[in-house]
Amino acid sequence: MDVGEYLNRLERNLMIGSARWVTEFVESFRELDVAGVRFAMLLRGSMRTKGLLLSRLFSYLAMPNYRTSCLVRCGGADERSLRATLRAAGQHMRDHNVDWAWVVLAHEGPFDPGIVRAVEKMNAREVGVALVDVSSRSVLTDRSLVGRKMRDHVRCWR
Amino acid sequence: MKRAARLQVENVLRAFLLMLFLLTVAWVVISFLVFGDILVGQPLVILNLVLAAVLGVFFYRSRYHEVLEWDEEGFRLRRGAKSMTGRWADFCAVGLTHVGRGIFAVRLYRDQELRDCLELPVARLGLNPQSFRDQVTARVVATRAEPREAGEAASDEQSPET
Repeated sequence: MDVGEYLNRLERNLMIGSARWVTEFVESFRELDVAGVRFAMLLRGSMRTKGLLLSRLFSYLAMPNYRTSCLVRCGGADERSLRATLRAAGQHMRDHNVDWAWVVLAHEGPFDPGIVRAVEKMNAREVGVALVDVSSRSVLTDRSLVGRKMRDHVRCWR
Repeated sequence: MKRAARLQVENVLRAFLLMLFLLTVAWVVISFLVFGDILVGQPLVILNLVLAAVLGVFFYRSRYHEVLEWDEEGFRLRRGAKSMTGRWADFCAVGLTHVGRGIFAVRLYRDQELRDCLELPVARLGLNPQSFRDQVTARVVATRAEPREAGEAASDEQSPET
């Protein structure tokens, strides 16, 4: 599987697949520049799901109205790239009043040990980071709740 | 110019049922006013169904049927009797949106803030939403890059004189 195919699968999984149990991503953009950083894919949505009457009512009464985003970047596999990506993601969250976001770094091949250590140390409340090695099909996420939640949804190999 | 159009069974059915309802109500009123009673019989039911089917097809074509035509420069979307045209160069971002029940549409944005948009119902037209989005994104990026490149070329030509 190459990165392009992975992006298509991830997009479908986030919009109409398992990720809908967490948040409903309604729109996806490709090759979008955010704060000077080009993201291969950017999805936006909210935790208020649509559905028919009962699901809509439950969602309205029980779910917080949080805006969510998922930013996917391909290629950069070093710590500097991670810092730039997180800075751009933070800018995007401030500009669009996003409450929490998933950041996915997809790469064909192993990641630099520095970026792996940095992600393992991360524990941000509003941002979850995942390093996806498409060639070995391995996923590493940070320790935060948002990060741990995304593990199953970015792992879309089938 | 490429073209995509597909019969939307749901809307055909909706148009047929609407016409059937209207014809039935009209017949009830006319029958009551003319004969003083509501006449019902097998030939009348068959005639009602046939008329509803014919009028339903006309109604569907004039209101719901969608046709999308596109080429390298732009596109034309016809929805019933209405028609709208656009050029790829007028848009700056392309989004794939989930409109519900696993159906996707492609949104073309006119501004960088991603507010003003136009929606192309690609899934209803039988197109693959992801590949159509990729094609449109490539065209939008290309049409936006062309003026920039032309501008850069013009400034390069002017720079020795200045």
